Amino acid sequence: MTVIESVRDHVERTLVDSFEVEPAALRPDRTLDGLGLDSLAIVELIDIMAGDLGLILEDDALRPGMTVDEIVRALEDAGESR
Amino acid sequence: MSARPPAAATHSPAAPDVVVTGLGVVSAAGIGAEATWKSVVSGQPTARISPTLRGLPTDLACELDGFDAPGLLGANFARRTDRFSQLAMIAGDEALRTAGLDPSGWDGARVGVLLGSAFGGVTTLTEQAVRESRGSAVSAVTVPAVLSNMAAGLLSLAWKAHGPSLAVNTACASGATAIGLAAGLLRDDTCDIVIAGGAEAPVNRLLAAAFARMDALSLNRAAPAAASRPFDAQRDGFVLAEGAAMLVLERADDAAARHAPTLARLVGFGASADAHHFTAPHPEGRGLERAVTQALRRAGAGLADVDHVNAHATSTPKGDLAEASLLARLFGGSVSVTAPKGALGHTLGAAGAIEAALTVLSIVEQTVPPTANLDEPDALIDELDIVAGQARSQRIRLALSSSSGFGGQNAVLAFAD
Repeated sequence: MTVIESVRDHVERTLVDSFEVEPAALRPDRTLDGLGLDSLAIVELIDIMAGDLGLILEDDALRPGMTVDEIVRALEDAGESR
Repeated sequence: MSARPPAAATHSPAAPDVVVTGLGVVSAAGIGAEATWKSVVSGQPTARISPTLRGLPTDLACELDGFDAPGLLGANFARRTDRFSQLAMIAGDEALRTAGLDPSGWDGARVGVLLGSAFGGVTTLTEQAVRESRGSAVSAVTVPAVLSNMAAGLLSLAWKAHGPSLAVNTACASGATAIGLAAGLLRDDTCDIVIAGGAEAPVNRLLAAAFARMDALSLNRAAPAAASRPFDAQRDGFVLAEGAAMLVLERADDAAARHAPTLARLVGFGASADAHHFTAPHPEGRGLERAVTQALRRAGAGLADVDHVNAHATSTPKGDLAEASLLARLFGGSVSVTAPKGALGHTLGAAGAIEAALTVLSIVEQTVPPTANLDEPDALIDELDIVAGQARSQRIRLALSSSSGFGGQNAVLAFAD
């Protein structure tokens, strides 16, 4: 399993398990907003990723209009800059 | 059968009867009113050593076993809320279910929620304070989880109840005060349905340490199940407990029109302040007496009409004595008395609501549960007819449930069959 797949898998699993996103709704181009995450939920997502993967993002690094793809990319960038 | 008239038989059109049409309870005995009723009726205590409190001067608590908040309420609700809101939600849903109410079909503008809690999201607050002190980021939902009005807000949100949504705090009388105030919203026609009660999830190290500094908690680690023993000569403090209870209240005419179950009538409510000391009760229960008098006046009843009292009695030496002194002065041995905290511990702001629910069930079942762990009544309070050992079948027409809180605040509810 590659690192890229691992981050994506983890984001998707977290969205399903912790944020009650329907698995069928998970597409790379779906936005957080479209998946039902409000602004507080996005900060919670950042906290969960930091806790689970050690990938630290600023509180404003993710925005409601960002897609799942963009989130995965932001987390991977954070991993590479460690 | 006595020839006396039924309590609270007359009501003017301006003061319609208010009835209880549903109830829900969560306690250390389990989820659902039936679990709590069974535990209390069988005199089965729920106190034990709490792993959460390990190492503290007293580590006793009454806690729910294996509470699966995500499984019961969904991951989002569980993640974003304190346990006191979670317990409230479960009790509230049960209350609606037993009342036969479906929020999707009601006029939400006419539905109110009143919820008492002494400490609100205090467990979340303490956890996040620890995180902050260690340099970790605090949760983004700390504030909404901690706010003590949030349980009421969340229940209103879940049920699309757009009427008054109020948090009530009279410390350990909060749940009873919420129920008493709810009746007013029905009588003045602000609401058609009010779901009212209390919730508390106080089993955390800070509160256990803080209550211990006040010498309020039982230190009976040698026999945890026997630690909470209201009115008993060997009582030495209360046992911290969690729980929630919610009652559905409606005007009697409305309930009859929709063929709702009527469990009991809420015929009176009295509220008062000791104005004596910031934590100690008035030694003769003078403040509580005013609340009893007020509740009976609103019920159109007298002391002689009362059959049963569900006492606040927390198992503290002073508190139980003050309440017993009052009950002995008012009733002597003419009413049966029980104290559910022997079985359930002290759920603080939820206690008045849980005990209101138990009082309603006592009327439904015409049964007085025993006071768990009452082996030898305190010599100073042996005038009372305190039910102990086993449950007692009794004709109960009018029953009181009394509650008192730090701050000297008292609430008394009067329920009738």
